Amino acid sequence: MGLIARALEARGLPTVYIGLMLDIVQRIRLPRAVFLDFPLGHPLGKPFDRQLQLSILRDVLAFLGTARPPADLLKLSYAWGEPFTYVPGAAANLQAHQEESK
Amino acid sequence: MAPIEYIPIMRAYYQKLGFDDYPIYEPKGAPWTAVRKPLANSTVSLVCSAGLSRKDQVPYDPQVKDDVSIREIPADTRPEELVINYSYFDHRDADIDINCVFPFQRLKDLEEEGFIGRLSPVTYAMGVGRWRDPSTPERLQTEVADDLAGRMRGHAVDAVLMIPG
Repeated sequence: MGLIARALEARGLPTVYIGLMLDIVQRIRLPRAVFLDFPLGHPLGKPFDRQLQLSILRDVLAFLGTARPPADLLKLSYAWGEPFTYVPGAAANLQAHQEESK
Repeated sequence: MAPIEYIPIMRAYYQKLGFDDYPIYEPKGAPWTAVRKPLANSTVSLVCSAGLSRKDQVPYDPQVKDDVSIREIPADTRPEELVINYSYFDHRDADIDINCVFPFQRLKDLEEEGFIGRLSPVTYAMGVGRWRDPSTPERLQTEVADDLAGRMRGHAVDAVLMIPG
């Protein structure tokens, strides 16, 4: 996705990217990236929290005009509110379990 | 609490699966296109690589590798017509509110309030999966980017919101 953001930018389209994995976002050097410290699967936050989703989008889209070349990273300060981890493979196991129980 | 360091976690997981490494593309420069219009006059499009599709489209394979296909999601699609095919992140919340990962309804709200000019009538979903074919990064940056940019020009898109899966 980062590669496509860069390639669209090279084709004359300004892009802004929402990233949840800070160490990876910093490596892939995007024109405009916004980091949110939220668990994977939640770039816009919690379900049905319309005001939060709108607030994040306003911040992210406003960064299109305020970011500075050649590559800019904005860390937004929204807090998830509870600790979270990432266990690779856990979601796949969960999905398999859900499929089996159907 | 400090943000999670994903790279060591992904490296260890990939090694456990028998892959050599978790490749991360590290470019030197970054291309840049300045915005040309105020947001309130801009057509904004959305690209999301969370492997979602409409129920009337061919779904993404959760185990897929090197899939560079694009699904067009018209902006007037009803959320219940969308499904997330991926299995590598927990999408139970996004299953009940797709705007958690694909905020097309909220972008429509921002159009109505005048924060953006309009949401492009078509948005885009992708689901590349793992890269095993060494030609995939190059294809994404050439043929796929040309294809997407061409489709967006057809809708006079001024700016693109990119959301990885």
